[in-house]
Amino acid sequence: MNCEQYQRRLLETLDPEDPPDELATHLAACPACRACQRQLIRIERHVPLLPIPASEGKTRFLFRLLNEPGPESAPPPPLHQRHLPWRRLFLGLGGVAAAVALLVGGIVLVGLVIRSPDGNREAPHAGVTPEKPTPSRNTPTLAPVPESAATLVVRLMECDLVLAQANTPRQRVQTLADLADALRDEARTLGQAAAPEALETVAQMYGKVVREGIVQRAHALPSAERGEVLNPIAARLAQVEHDVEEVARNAGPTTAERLRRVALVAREGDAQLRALVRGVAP
Amino acid sequence: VARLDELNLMQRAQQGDRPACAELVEHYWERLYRWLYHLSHDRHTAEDLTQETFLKAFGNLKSFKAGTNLQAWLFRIAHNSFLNQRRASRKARQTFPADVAAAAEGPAEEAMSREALQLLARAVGRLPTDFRAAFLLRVEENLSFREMADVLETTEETARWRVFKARQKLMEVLAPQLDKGKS
Repeated sequence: MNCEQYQRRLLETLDPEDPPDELATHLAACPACRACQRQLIRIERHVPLLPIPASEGKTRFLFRLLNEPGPESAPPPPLHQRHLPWRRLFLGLGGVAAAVALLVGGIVLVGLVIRSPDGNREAPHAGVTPEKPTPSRNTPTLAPVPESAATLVVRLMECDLVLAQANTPRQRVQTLADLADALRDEARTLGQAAAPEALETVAQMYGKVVREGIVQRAHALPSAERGEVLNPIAARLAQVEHDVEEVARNAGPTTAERLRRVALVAREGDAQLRALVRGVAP
Repeated sequence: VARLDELNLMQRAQQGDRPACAELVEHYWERLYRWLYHLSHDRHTAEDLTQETFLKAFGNLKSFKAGTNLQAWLFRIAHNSFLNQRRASRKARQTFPADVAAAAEGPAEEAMSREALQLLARAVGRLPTDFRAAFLLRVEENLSFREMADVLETTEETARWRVFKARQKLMEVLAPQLDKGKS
């Protein structure tokens, strides 16, 4: 076979980075064909990085999926799930009024996961042989969700399940604090992805969770438990400003303003919880 | 483990577990949308087709059998939706995706020049749809030729041929540019 034929085989190979033995032997000995292989690999590694407009439909779709009756052909949800998880979350924030206000206002809790389509992709290194894309992106199977990449919706579901079973103010406050952490993480992600619209929604939710959730529920804690429960949460809130400021510094003005609003809510929450611990009603 | 997770999710979804369906949407929405955007060159069409894919999938969960490749199953539904949409709209001519030229700068440009990246977007966008569909399933979804054939409802050899032709065309267009970038 000549080089032209080898290069044709290369183009027919499933994975140009892992050619069959005969082709690999030729590539090892032929700089021209190896250059061709490098170019092909370079092209293929860059295709998944081509930017496309972000999808906004997932938010609406998830909301409908979780809140509306399914199509005729779809099996009905089990009875225990008819009590929608998001409703429980809203109820955990202080009542039906909050749920109605949020829903009527079009704030879609499950839709807080708008991400840049490239947000989770690694860029290749410079040069002709960049790092292979992460297998989680391209694997043909459904990869488990690592904690670092856990989507907000999954974290909300976890919080919701705990809230649904929470019997004490302590459990409720701690779960709401976890929820606030999830929203804080999402705010940072959205700040890095320069997605101010979605960030606005997250900032509003963060305010609701801290002000109407954590702080209000904290009042129901017995005095003896307040220090033990609230001090760690206050410390977490105090850390938020530092966490988001780093992102805000590199963000546009709208994104930065929303991130700083999250920080302000956290700072106020921190102060109010510490006042409660000291026995001073905020 | 991933396969087990996938099977478990599908079993829960088949029992009407909405959060399981939501997890499937979380895992596959962006990937389907991205592929459909590359095929349709239209954001709204891609959004609609992605939604339609999930609606069809959730409406036919009972037909999904254990052992089926979920990824290929979803992409096949998406491909059929795309073909139906294309037939309906009779948009035979390919249009260049307008958004690519205005795309934000990202880390990719560090590895490939901005000019080369734009050329790549253009070249991919101008591939014949059949070639583009197969090629993207290979490079973005890492499917085998057998799985591509399954999605595109064709033979394995045809899938291989389409990927070959796509690569050949991209190399023709891009190799001189990449050589220039190196010198």
